[in-house]
Amino acid sequence: MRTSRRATLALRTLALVYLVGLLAVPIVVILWRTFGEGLGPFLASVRTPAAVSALNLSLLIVAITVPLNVVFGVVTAIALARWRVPFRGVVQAVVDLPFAVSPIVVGVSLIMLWGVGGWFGGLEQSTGIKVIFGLPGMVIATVFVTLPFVVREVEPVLHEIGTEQEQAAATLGASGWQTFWRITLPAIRWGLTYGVVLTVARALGEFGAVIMVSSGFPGVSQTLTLLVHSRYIDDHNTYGAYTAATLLMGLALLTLLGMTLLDRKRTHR
Amino acid sequence: MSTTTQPVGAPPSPAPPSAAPARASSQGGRRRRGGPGGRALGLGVVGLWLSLMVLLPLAALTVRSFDDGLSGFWAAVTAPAALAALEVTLGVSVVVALVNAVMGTLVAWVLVRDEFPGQRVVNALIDLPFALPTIVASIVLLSLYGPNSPIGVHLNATRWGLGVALAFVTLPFVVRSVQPVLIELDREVEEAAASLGASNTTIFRRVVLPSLAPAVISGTGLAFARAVGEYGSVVLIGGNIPRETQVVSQYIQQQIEIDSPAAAAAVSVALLSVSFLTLFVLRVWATLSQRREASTA
Repeated sequence: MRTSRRATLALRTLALVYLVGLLAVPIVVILWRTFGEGLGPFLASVRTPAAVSALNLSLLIVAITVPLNVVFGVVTAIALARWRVPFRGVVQAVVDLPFAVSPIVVGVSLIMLWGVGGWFGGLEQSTGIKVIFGLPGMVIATVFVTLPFVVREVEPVLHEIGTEQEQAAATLGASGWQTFWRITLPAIRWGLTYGVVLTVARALGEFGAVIMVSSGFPGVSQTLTLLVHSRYIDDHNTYGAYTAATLLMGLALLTLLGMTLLDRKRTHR
Repeated sequence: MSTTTQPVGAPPSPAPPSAAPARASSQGGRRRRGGPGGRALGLGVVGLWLSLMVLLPLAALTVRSFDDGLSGFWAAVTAPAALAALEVTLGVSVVVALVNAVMGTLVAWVLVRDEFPGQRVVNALIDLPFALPTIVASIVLLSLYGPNSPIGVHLNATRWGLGVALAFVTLPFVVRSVQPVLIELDREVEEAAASLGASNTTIFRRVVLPSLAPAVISGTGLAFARAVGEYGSVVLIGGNIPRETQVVSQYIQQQIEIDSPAAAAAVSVALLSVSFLTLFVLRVWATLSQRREASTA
Protein backbone atom coordinates (compact mmCIF):
# COMPACT_ATOMS: atom_id res chain seq x y z
CA MET A 1 0.00 0.00 0.00
CA ARG A 2 1.57 3.26 -1.14
CA THR A 3 0.34 6.33 0.63
CA SER A 4 0.73 9.74 -0.92
CA ARG A 5 3.33 12.11 0.45
CA ARG A 6 0.63 14.19 2.10
CA ALA A 7 -1.04 11.23 3.76
CA THR A 8 2.32 9.93 5.02
CA LEU A 9 3.13 13.29 6.53
CA ALA A 10 -0.32 13.57 8.10
CA LEU A 11 -0.08 10.13 9.72
CA ARG A 12 3.44 10.81 10.93
CA THR A 13 2.43 14.15 12.43
CA LEU A 14 -0.60 12.66 14.15
CA ALA A 15 1.43 9.84 15.71
CA LEU A 16 4.24 12.13 16.80
CA VAL A 17 1.89 14.72 18.29
CA TYR A 18 0.22 11.96 20.33
CA LEU A 19 3.55 10.61 21.59
CA VAL A 20 5.02 14.04 22.26
CA GLY A 21 1.95 15.18 24.20
CA LEU A 22 1.65 11.97 26.16
CA LEU A 23 5.29 11.02 26.75
CA ALA A 24 7.93 13.48 25.70
CA VAL A 25 6.63 16.85 26.91
CA PRO A 26 5.62 15.65 30.41
CA ILE A 27 9.07 14.15 30.90
CA VAL A 28 10.84 17.27 29.66
CA VAL A 29 8.68 19.39 31.98
CA ILE A 30 9.44 17.28 35.04
CA LEU A 31 13.18 17.35 34.25
CA TRP A 32 12.99 21.10 33.83
CA ARG A 33 11.13 21.45 37.13
CA THR A 34 13.65 19.20 38.86
CA PHE A 35 16.85 20.71 37.55
CA GLY A 36 15.57 24.20 36.76
CA GLU A 37 17.05 25.52 39.99
CA GLY A 38 20.32 23.75 39.46
CA LEU A 39 21.87 20.55 40.68
CA GLY A 40 22.35 21.74 44.27
CA PRO A 41 18.68 21.88 45.34
CA PHE A 42 18.08 18.55 43.61
CA LEU A 43 20.89 16.84 45.52
CA ALA A 44 19.76 18.43 48.79
CA SER A 45 16.23 17.20 48.18
CA VAL A 46 17.22 13.59 47.50
CA ARG A 47 19.71 13.55 50.38
CA THR A 48 17.30 14.35 53.20
CA PRO A 49 17.28 11.64 55.91
CA ALA A 50 13.80 10.51 54.82
CA ALA A 51 14.89 10.22 51.18
CA VAL A 52 18.07 8.32 52.02
CA SER A 53 16.19 5.90 54.22
CA ALA A 54 13.55 5.45 51.50
CA LEU A 55 16.25 4.60 48.96
CA ASN A 56 17.84 2.18 51.43
CA LEU A 57 14.52 0.49 52.15
CA SER A 58 13.76 0.14 48.43
CA LEU A 59 17.18 -1.40 47.85
CA LEU A 60 16.77 -3.69 50.86
CA ILE A 61 13.45 -4.97 49.49
CA VAL A 62 15.11 -5.54 46.11
CA ALA A 63 18.00 -7.35 47.81
CA ILE A 64 15.61 -9.77 49.53
CA THR A 65 13.19 -10.18 46.61
CA VAL A 66 15.75 -10.97 43.91
CA PRO A 67 17.41 -14.02 45.55
CA LEU A 68 14.01 -15.45 46.48
CA ASN A 69 12.76 -15.05 42.92
CA VAL A 70 15.98 -16.45 41.44
CA VAL A 71 16.02 -19.60 43.56
CA PHE A 72 12.32 -20.42 43.46
CA GLY A 73 11.87 -19.07 39.94
CA VAL A 74 14.62 -21.28 38.51
CA VAL A 75 13.31 -24.37 40.34
CA THR A 76 9.80 -23.61 39.04
CA ALA A 77 11.10 -23.11 35.50
CA ILE A 78 13.06 -26.39 35.62
CA ALA A 79 10.03 -28.21 37.00
CA LEU A 80 7.81 -26.84 34.20
CA ALA A 81 10.35 -27.47 31.44
CA ARG A 82 11.88 -30.77 32.51
CA TRP A 83 9.77 -32.69 34.98
CA ARG A 84 6.43 -34.34 34.82
CA VAL A 85 4.30 -31.80 36.69
CA PRO A 86 0.78 -32.80 37.72
CA PHE A 87 -1.81 -30.22 36.57
CA ARG A 88 0.79 -28.46 34.41
CA GLY A 89 -1.80 -26.14 32.87
CA VAL A 90 -2.98 -25.01 36.28
CA VAL A 91 0.59 -24.42 37.48
CA GLN A 92 1.32 -22.35 34.35
CA ALA A 93 -1.80 -20.26 34.99
CA VAL A 94 -0.83 -19.73 38.65
CA VAL A 95 2.61 -18.47 37.58
CA ASP A 96 0.97 -15.90 35.27
CA LEU A 97 -1.70 -14.94 37.80
CA PRO A 98 0.22 -12.02 39.42
CA PHE A 99 0.27 -10.18 36.06
CA ALA A 100 -3.54 -10.11 36.04
CA VAL A 101 -4.10 -8.94 39.61
CA SER A 102 -4.47 -5.23 40.40
CA PRO A 103 -1.77 -4.05 42.86
CA ILE A 104 -4.44 -2.90 45.31
CA VAL A 105 -6.06 -6.33 45.20
CA VAL A 106 -2.65 -7.85 45.94
CA GLY A 107 -2.46 -5.67 49.05
CA VAL A 108 -5.99 -6.57 50.18
CA SER A 109 -5.30 -10.30 49.64
CA LEU A 110 -2.17 -10.12 51.78
CA ILE A 111 -4.09 -8.29 54.52
CA MET A 112 -6.76 -11.01 54.38
CA LEU A 113 -4.09 -13.70 54.78
CA TRP A 114 -1.46 -12.16 57.06
CA GLY A 115 -3.27 -9.25 58.73
CA VAL A 116 -4.97 -9.12 62.11
CA GLY A 117 -7.95 -11.48 61.89
CA GLY A 118 -6.50 -13.07 58.75
CA TRP A 119 -5.88 -16.78 58.19
CA PHE A 120 -2.28 -16.44 59.41
CA GLY A 121 -3.06 -13.51 61.71
CA GLY A 122 -2.15 -15.63 64.74
CA LEU A 123 1.50 -15.60 63.67
CA GLU A 124 1.90 -12.02 64.80
CA GLN A 125 0.48 -12.75 68.27
CA SER A 126 2.52 -15.91 68.80
CA THR A 127 5.87 -14.83 67.36
CA GLY A 128 5.67 -11.04 67.42
CA ILE A 129 6.67 -10.83 63.75
CA LYS A 130 4.72 -8.00 62.17
CA VAL A 131 3.99 -9.01 58.59
CA ILE A 132 1.40 -6.44 57.56
CA PHE A 133 2.68 -2.91 58.32
CA GLY A 134 6.17 -4.37 58.57
CA LEU A 135 9.07 -5.22 56.27
CA PRO A 136 7.94 -8.85 55.68
CA GLY A 137 4.63 -7.63 54.24
CA MET A 138 6.36 -5.24 51.86
CA VAL A 139 8.71 -8.01 50.73
CA ILE A 140 5.86 -10.49 50.24
CA ALA A 141 3.89 -7.91 48.24
CA THR A 142 6.93 -7.25 46.04
CA VAL A 143 7.58 -10.97 45.56
CA PHE A 144 3.94 -11.45 44.53
CA VAL A 145 4.05 -8.85 41.77
CA THR A 146 7.49 -9.93 40.47
CA LEU A 147 7.05 -13.70 40.74
CA PRO A 148 6.40 -14.43 37.03
CA PHE A 149 9.45 -12.62 35.59
CA VAL A 150 12.26 -15.13 36.27
CA VAL A 151 10.09 -18.17 35.49
CA ARG A 152 8.84 -16.66 32.24
CA GLU A 153 12.34 -15.68 31.06
CA VAL A 154 14.08 -18.94 32.03
CA GLU A 155 11.50 -21.55 31.01
CA PRO A 156 11.61 -20.82 27.24
CA VAL A 157 15.41 -20.94 27.30
CA LEU A 158 15.30 -24.37 28.95
CA HIS A 159 12.97 -25.59 26.19
CA GLU A 160 15.21 -24.09 23.53
CA ILE A 161 18.50 -25.62 24.71
CA GLY A 162 16.96 -29.07 25.00
CA THR A 163 18.42 -31.82 27.15
CA GLU A 164 21.17 -33.27 24.96
CA GLN A 165 24.06 -31.65 26.81
CA GLU A 166 22.53 -32.42 30.18
CA GLN A 167 22.12 -36.04 29.16
CA ALA A 168 25.67 -36.20 27.87
CA ALA A 169 26.92 -34.89 31.20
CA ALA A 170 24.85 -37.44 33.06
CA THR A 171 26.19 -40.24 30.82
CA LEU A 172 29.73 -39.13 31.66
CA GLY A 173 28.89 -39.57 35.33
CA ALA A 174 28.03 -36.03 36.43
CA SER A 175 25.71 -35.74 39.38
CA GLY A 176 22.50 -33.75 39.16
CA TRP A 177 24.11 -30.79 40.92
CA GLN A 178 27.21 -30.86 38.71
CA THR A 179 25.02 -30.92 35.61
CA PHE A 180 23.04 -27.97 36.91
CA TRP A 181 26.06 -25.81 37.80
CA ARG A 182 28.21 -26.68 34.77
CA ILE A 183 25.63 -27.11 31.97
CA THR A 184 22.18 -25.75 32.78
CA LEU A 185 23.07 -22.58 34.68
CA PRO A 186 25.58 -21.25 32.08
CA ALA A 187 23.01 -21.90 29.35
CA ILE A 188 20.22 -19.98 31.07
CA ARG A 189 22.36 -17.14 32.41
CA TRP A 190 21.22 -14.39 30.01
CA GLY A 191 17.58 -15.31 30.31
CA LEU A 192 17.98 -15.38 34.07
CA THR A 193 19.75 -12.01 34.08
CA TYR A 194 16.97 -10.52 31.97
CA GLY A 195 14.40 -11.87 34.40
CA VAL A 196 16.36 -10.37 37.29
CA VAL A 197 16.50 -6.96 35.60
CA LEU A 198 12.74 -7.01 35.08
CA THR A 199 12.32 -8.05 38.72
CA VAL A 200 14.55 -5.22 39.97
CA ALA A 201 12.71 -2.64 37.88
CA ARG A 202 9.30 -3.75 39.06
CA ALA A 203 10.44 -4.12 42.69
CA LEU A 204 11.84 -0.57 42.76
CA GLY A 205 8.74 0.84 41.14
CA GLU A 206 5.97 -1.09 42.88
CA PHE A 207 3.56 1.26 44.60
CA GLY A 208 -0.04 0.04 45.00
CA ALA A 209 0.67 -3.32 46.60
CA VAL A 210 3.33 -1.89 48.90
CA ILE A 211 1.33 1.12 50.11
CA MET A 212 -1.44 -1.23 51.25
CA VAL A 213 0.83 -3.24 53.55
CA SER A 214 3.21 -0.50 54.71
CA SER A 215 2.73 1.72 57.73
CA GLY A 216 4.29 4.49 55.63
CA PHE A 217 6.29 6.28 58.34
CA PRO A 218 8.89 8.62 56.82
CA GLY A 219 12.37 7.37 57.58
CA VAL A 220 11.10 3.97 58.71
CA SER A 221 8.74 2.22 56.32
CA GLN A 222 8.67 4.45 53.26
CA THR A 223 10.05 3.16 50.00
CA LEU A 224 11.02 5.57 47.22
CA THR A 225 7.62 5.31 45.56
CA LEU A 226 5.84 5.93 48.87
CA LEU A 227 8.13 8.93 49.43
CA VAL A 228 7.02 10.46 46.12
CA HIS A 229 3.39 9.97 47.10
CA SER A 230 3.68 11.31 50.64
CA ARG A 231 5.76 14.31 49.64
CA TYR A 232 3.09 15.30 47.13
CA ILE A 233 -0.04 14.44 49.14
CA ASP A 234 0.94 14.85 52.81
CA ASP A 235 3.75 17.40 52.75
CA HIS A 236 2.54 19.44 49.74
CA ASN A 237 6.20 19.39 48.80
CA THR A 238 5.72 19.34 45.04
CA TYR A 239 9.37 20.03 44.30
CA GLY A 240 10.44 17.18 46.60
CA ALA A 241 8.01 14.85 44.84
CA TYR A 242 9.46 15.87 41.45
CA THR A 243 13.04 15.24 42.57
CA ALA A 244 12.25 11.85 44.12
CA ALA A 245 10.32 10.89 40.98
CA THR A 246 13.25 12.00 38.81
CA LEU A 247 15.57 9.81 40.87
CA LEU A 248 13.23 6.84 40.33
CA MET A 249 12.98 7.71 36.65
CA GLY A 250 16.78 7.67 36.40
CA LEU A 251 16.83 4.18 37.89
CA ALA A 252 14.09 3.10 35.47
CA LEU A 253 16.00 4.49 32.48
CA LEU A 254 19.12 2.62 33.57
CA THR A 255 17.02 -0.54 33.67
CA LEU A 256 15.59 0.16 30.24
CA LEU A 257 19.10 0.63 28.89
CA GLY A 258 20.23 -2.60 30.53
CA MET A 259 17.23 -4.42 29.06
CA THR A 260 18.00 -3.19 25.56
CA LEU A 261 21.63 -4.28 25.80
CA LEU A 262 20.74 -7.63 27.38
CA ASP A 263 18.05 -8.27 24.82
CA ARG A 264 20.67 -8.04 22.09
CA LYS A 265 22.88 -10.53 23.95
CA ARG A 266 19.98 -12.84 24.67
CA THR A 267 18.78 -13.04 21.07
CA HIS A 268 22.29 -13.34 19.58
CA ARG A 269 23.30 -16.08 21.94
CA MET B 1 6.84 -10.09 28.40
CA SER B 2 6.37 -7.48 25.78
CA THR B 3 8.81 -5.02 27.31
CA THR B 4 11.61 -5.98 24.95
CA THR B 5 12.71 -3.27 22.61
CA GLN B 6 12.48 -4.37 19.04
CA PRO B 7 14.58 -2.38 16.62
CA VAL B 8 12.72 -0.90 13.70
CA GLY B 9 12.72 -3.22 10.74
CA ALA B 10 14.29 -6.06 12.68
CA PRO B 11 13.16 -9.56 11.81
CA PRO B 12 10.39 -10.81 14.08
CA SER B 13 11.52 -12.67 17.15
CA PRO B 14 11.62 -16.44 16.71
CA ALA B 15 8.42 -18.31 17.33
CA PRO B 16 8.10 -19.88 20.76
CA PRO B 17 9.44 -23.42 20.81
CA SER B 18 6.83 -25.98 19.97
CA ALA B 19 5.51 -28.30 22.63
CA ALA B 20 6.85 -31.42 20.93
CA PRO B 21 10.55 -31.15 21.84
CA ALA B 22 9.54 -30.08 25.34
CA ARG B 23 7.64 -33.29 25.84
CA ALA B 24 10.51 -35.33 24.49
CA SER B 25 12.96 -33.55 26.75
CA SER B 26 10.91 -34.19 29.86
CA GLN B 27 11.20 -37.88 29.03
CA GLY B 28 14.97 -37.70 28.88
CA GLY B 29 15.08 -35.52 31.96
CA ARG B 30 13.37 -38.14 34.02
CA ARG B 31 16.23 -40.52 33.49
CA ARG B 32 18.76 -37.85 34.24
CA ARG B 33 18.53 -35.89 37.40
CA GLY B 34 18.75 -37.42 40.86
CA GLY B 35 16.33 -39.98 42.16
CA PRO B 36 12.59 -39.65 42.28
CA GLY B 37 13.11 -38.38 45.84
CA GLY B 38 14.95 -35.24 44.75
CA ARG B 39 12.38 -34.49 42.11
CA ALA B 40 9.50 -34.96 44.54
CA LEU B 41 11.25 -32.55 46.89
CA GLY B 42 11.63 -30.03 44.06
CA LEU B 43 7.97 -30.32 43.10
CA GLY B 44 7.01 -29.94 46.74
CA VAL B 45 9.06 -26.76 47.02
CA VAL B 46 7.47 -25.33 43.85
CA GLY B 47 3.98 -26.24 45.05
CA LEU B 48 4.57 -24.74 48.47
CA TRP B 49 6.12 -21.55 47.05
CA LEU B 50 3.32 -20.90 44.57
CA SER B 51 0.64 -21.75 47.13
CA LEU B 52 2.09 -19.56 49.87
CA MET B 53 2.87 -16.60 47.63
CA VAL B 54 -0.02 -16.58 45.14
CA LEU B 55 -2.79 -19.05 45.85
CA LEU B 56 -3.30 -18.66 49.60
CA PRO B 57 -3.61 -14.85 49.54
CA LEU B 58 -6.14 -15.01 46.71
CA ALA B 59 -7.99 -17.87 48.44
CA ALA B 60 -8.12 -15.89 51.67
CA LEU B 61 -9.42 -12.89 49.72
CA THR B 62 -12.17 -14.92 48.06
CA VAL B 63 -13.28 -16.73 51.20
CA ARG B 64 -13.27 -13.61 53.35
CA SER B 65 -15.26 -11.65 50.79
CA PHE B 66 -18.15 -13.88 51.91
CA ASP B 67 -17.55 -13.15 55.61
CA ASP B 68 -21.01 -11.59 55.79
CA GLY B 69 -22.60 -14.27 53.65
CA LEU B 70 -23.73 -14.13 50.05
CA SER B 71 -26.08 -11.25 50.77
CA GLY B 72 -23.23 -9.32 52.43
CA PHE B 73 -21.07 -9.88 49.34
CA TRP B 74 -23.85 -8.71 47.06
CA ALA B 75 -24.59 -5.67 49.24
CA ALA B 76 -20.91 -4.66 49.23
CA VAL B 77 -20.57 -4.96 45.46
CA THR B 78 -23.85 -3.18 44.70
CA ALA B 79 -23.38 -0.34 47.19
CA PRO B 80 -24.03 2.88 45.24
CA ALA B 81 -20.47 4.20 45.72
CA ALA B 82 -19.00 0.83 44.67
CA LEU B 83 -21.18 0.69 41.57
CA ALA B 84 -20.27 4.29 40.74
CA ALA B 85 -16.55 3.46 41.05
CA LEU B 86 -17.02 0.39 38.85
CA GLU B 87 -18.87 2.49 36.30
CA VAL B 88 -16.17 5.19 36.20
CA THR B 89 -13.43 2.55 35.93
CA LEU B 90 -15.07 0.52 33.20
CA GLY B 91 -16.18 3.60 31.26
CA VAL B 92 -12.79 5.29 31.22
CA SER B 93 -11.01 1.96 30.57
CA VAL B 94 -13.18 1.21 27.55
CA VAL B 95 -12.52 4.66 26.09
CA VAL B 96 -8.78 4.37 26.77
CA ALA B 97 -8.70 0.89 25.22
CA LEU B 98 -10.40 2.21 22.07
CA VAL B 99 -8.04 5.21 21.87
CA ASN B 100 -5.19 2.72 22.20
CA ALA B 101 -6.62 0.55 19.42
CA VAL B 102 -6.61 3.50 16.99
CA MET B 103 -3.54 5.46 18.11
CA GLY B 104 -1.51 2.34 18.91
CA THR B 105 -2.10 0.96 15.43
CA LEU B 106 -1.29 4.34 13.92
CA VAL B 107 1.95 4.63 15.89
CA ALA B 108 2.95 1.08 14.93
CA TRP B 109 2.18 1.89 11.29
CA VAL B 110 4.32 5.04 11.34
CA LEU B 111 7.17 3.17 13.06
CA VAL B 112 7.16 0.36 10.48
CA ARG B 113 6.08 1.93 7.16
CA ASP B 114 7.40 5.44 7.51
CA GLU B 115 10.99 6.61 7.70
CA PHE B 116 12.10 9.79 9.40
CA PRO B 117 15.07 11.04 11.40
CA GLY B 118 14.89 10.11 15.08
CA GLN B 119 12.69 7.09 14.43
CA ARG B 120 14.83 4.84 16.62
CA VAL B 121 14.51 7.22 19.53
CA VAL B 122 10.74 7.31 19.11
CA ASN B 123 10.70 3.52 18.97
CA ALA B 124 12.68 3.27 22.21
CA LEU B 125 10.39 5.83 23.85
CA ILE B 126 7.41 3.48 23.44
CA ASP B 127 8.69 1.15 26.17
CA LEU B 128 9.10 3.96 28.67
CA PRO B 129 5.65 3.57 30.29
CA PHE B 130 6.47 -0.07 31.10
CA ALA B 131 9.81 0.85 32.64
CA LEU B 132 8.56 3.86 34.58
CA PRO B 133 7.09 3.26 38.07
CA THR B 134 3.38 4.08 38.02
CA ILE B 135 3.67 6.77 40.70
CA VAL B 136 6.32 8.47 38.57
CA ALA B 137 3.90 8.38 35.64
CA SER B 138 1.40 10.15 37.84
CA ILE B 139 3.86 12.87 38.87
CA VAL B 140 5.18 13.27 35.33
CA LEU B 141 1.68 13.88 33.96
CA LEU B 142 0.83 16.21 36.84
CA SER B 143 3.83 18.36 36.06
CA LEU B 144 2.34 19.08 32.64
CA TYR B 145 -1.40 18.73 33.14
CA GLY B 146 -1.65 19.43 36.88
CA PRO B 147 -2.44 22.51 38.97
CA ASN B 148 0.77 24.36 37.94
CA SER B 149 0.44 23.46 34.29
CA PRO B 150 2.87 25.53 32.21
CA ILE B 151 0.50 25.27 29.22
CA GLY B 152 -2.67 26.07 31.16
CA VAL B 153 -4.29 22.67 30.76
CA HIS B 154 -5.76 21.50 34.07
CA LEU B 155 -6.82 17.87 34.00
CA ASN B 156 -6.32 17.35 37.72
CA ALA B 157 -9.26 15.53 39.35
CA THR B 158 -11.18 15.10 36.10
CA ARG B 159 -12.05 12.02 34.07
CA TRP B 160 -9.82 13.47 31.35
CA GLY B 161 -6.97 13.23 33.83
CA LEU B 162 -7.83 9.58 34.49
CA GLY B 163 -7.92 8.93 30.77
CA VAL B 164 -4.54 10.55 30.13
CA ALA B 165 -2.93 8.59 33.00
CA LEU B 166 -4.37 5.29 31.77
CA ALA B 167 -3.46 6.05 28.15
CA PHE B 168 0.10 6.71 29.32
CA VAL B 169 0.58 3.41 31.17
CA THR B 170 -1.17 1.28 28.52
CA LEU B 171 0.49 2.87 25.46
CA PRO B 172 2.95 0.01 24.71
CA PHE B 173 0.38 -2.82 24.56
CA VAL B 174 -1.17 -2.21 21.12
CA VAL B 175 1.99 -0.74 19.54
CA ARG B 176 4.13 -3.70 20.60
CA SER B 177 1.59 -6.31 19.56
CA VAL B 178 0.84 -4.75 16.14
CA GLN B 179 4.42 -3.82 15.19
CA PRO B 180 5.80 -7.35 14.60
CA VAL B 181 2.72 -8.35 12.57
CA LEU B 182 3.07 -5.24 10.43
CA ILE B 183 6.76 -5.99 9.80
CA GLU B 184 5.90 -9.51 8.70
CA LEU B 185 2.95 -8.49 6.52
CA ASP B 186 3.32 -9.54 2.91
CA ARG B 187 3.28 -6.31 0.91
CA GLU B 188 2.86 -8.10 -2.41
CA VAL B 189 -0.80 -8.68 -1.64
CA GLU B 190 -1.27 -4.95 -1.15
CA GLU B 191 0.53 -4.23 -4.41
CA ALA B 192 -1.60 -6.80 -6.23
CA ALA B 193 -4.74 -5.18 -4.86
CA ALA B 194 -3.45 -1.76 -5.96
CA SER B 195 -2.64 -2.98 -9.46
CA LEU B 196 -6.19 -4.31 -9.70
CA GLY B 197 -7.36 -0.76 -9.06
CA ALA B 198 -8.25 -0.88 -5.36
CA SER B 199 -8.05 2.43 -3.54
CA ASN B 200 -5.93 2.87 -0.43
CA THR B 201 -9.03 2.85 1.77
CA THR B 202 -10.16 -0.43 0.25
CA ILE B 203 -6.70 -1.97 0.57
CA PHE B 204 -6.46 -0.96 4.19
CA ARG B 205 -9.96 -2.20 5.00
CA ARG B 206 -9.89 -5.44 3.02
CA VAL B 207 -6.22 -6.46 3.08
CA VAL B 208 -4.26 -4.80 5.89
CA LEU B 209 -6.85 -4.55 8.63
CA PRO B 210 -7.92 -8.22 8.59
CA SER B 211 -4.30 -9.30 9.11
CA LEU B 212 -3.73 -6.77 11.88
CA ALA B 213 -7.05 -7.33 13.64
CA PRO B 214 -5.96 -10.20 15.95
CA ALA B 215 -2.93 -8.21 17.17
CA VAL B 216 -4.98 -5.03 17.60
CA ILE B 217 -7.67 -6.85 19.55
CA SER B 218 -5.26 -8.70 21.82
CA GLY B 219 -3.29 -5.52 22.53
CA THR B 220 -6.50 -3.61 23.22
CA GLY B 221 -7.73 -6.35 25.56
CA LEU B 222 -4.47 -6.37 27.51
CA ALA B 223 -4.60 -2.58 27.76
CA PHE B 224 -8.17 -2.78 29.06
CA ALA B 225 -7.26 -5.44 31.65
CA ARG B 226 -4.37 -3.30 32.83
CA ALA B 227 -6.49 -0.14 32.96
CA VAL B 228 -9.29 -1.54 35.13
CA GLY B 229 -6.85 -2.50 37.91
CA GLU B 230 -4.57 0.51 37.66
CA TYR B 231 -3.83 2.46 40.82
CA GLY B 232 -0.44 4.16 41.02
CA SER B 233 -0.74 6.29 37.91
CA VAL B 234 -4.23 7.61 38.70
CA VAL B 235 -3.79 8.13 42.44
CA LEU B 236 -2.41 11.66 42.18
CA ILE B 237 -4.02 12.98 39.00
CA GLY B 238 -7.42 11.33 39.48
CA GLY B 239 -8.42 13.24 42.58
CA ASN B 240 -10.31 10.31 44.16
CA ILE B 241 -13.66 12.13 44.10
CA PRO B 242 -16.40 9.57 44.89
CA ARG B 243 -18.84 9.07 42.00
CA GLU B 244 -16.77 11.39 39.82
CA THR B 245 -13.20 10.20 39.43
CA GLN B 246 -12.82 7.51 42.09
CA VAL B 247 -11.75 4.27 40.40
CA VAL B 248 -12.40 0.82 41.83
CA SER B 249 -8.91 0.35 43.23
CA GLN B 250 -9.19 3.65 45.11
CA TYR B 251 -12.62 2.63 46.43
CA ILE B 252 -11.15 -0.67 47.68
CA GLN B 253 -8.33 1.15 49.43
CA GLN B 254 -10.88 3.44 51.06
CA GLN B 255 -12.82 0.43 52.37
CA ILE B 256 -9.64 -0.88 54.03
CA GLU B 257 -9.00 2.54 55.54
CA ILE B 258 -12.50 2.81 57.04
CA ASP B 259 -12.04 -0.72 58.37
CA SER B 260 -14.57 -2.68 56.36
CA PRO B 261 -12.31 -5.45 55.07
CA ALA B 262 -15.18 -7.69 53.96
CA ALA B 263 -16.46 -4.98 51.60
CA ALA B 264 -12.90 -4.37 50.32
CA ALA B 265 -12.52 -8.10 49.69
CA ALA B 266 -15.87 -8.37 47.94
CA VAL B 267 -15.19 -5.47 45.55
CA SER B 268 -11.67 -6.86 45.00
CA VAL B 269 -13.20 -10.17 43.92
CA ALA B 270 -15.50 -8.30 41.54
CA LEU B 271 -12.54 -6.41 40.06
CA LEU B 272 -10.51 -9.62 39.76
CA SER B 273 -13.41 -11.26 37.93
CA VAL B 274 -13.46 -8.46 35.37
CA SER B 275 -9.71 -8.82 34.63
CA PHE B 276 -9.83 -12.63 34.59
CA LEU B 277 -12.87 -12.65 32.33
CA THR B 278 -11.17 -10.24 29.90
CA LEU B 279 -8.00 -12.33 29.76
CA PHE B 280 -9.98 -15.58 29.53
CA VAL B 281 -12.07 -14.32 26.61
CA LEU B 282 -8.90 -13.11 24.88
CA ARG B 283 -7.22 -16.50 25.27
CA VAL B 284 -10.23 -18.48 24.06
CA TRP B 285 -10.67 -16.11 21.13
CA ALA B 286 -6.97 -16.40 20.21
CA THR B 287 -7.14 -20.20 20.30
CA LEU B 288 -10.29 -20.22 18.17
CA SER B 289 -8.91 -17.84 15.54
CA GLN B 290 -5.66 -19.82 15.39
CA ARG B 291 -7.66 -22.98 14.78
CA ARG B 292 -9.74 -21.25 12.12
CA GLU B 293 -6.56 -20.06 10.41
CA ALA B 294 -5.11 -23.57 10.52
CA SER B 295 -8.23 -25.07 8.97
CA THR B 296 -8.37 -22.52 6.12
CA ALA B 297 -4.65 -22.69 5.40
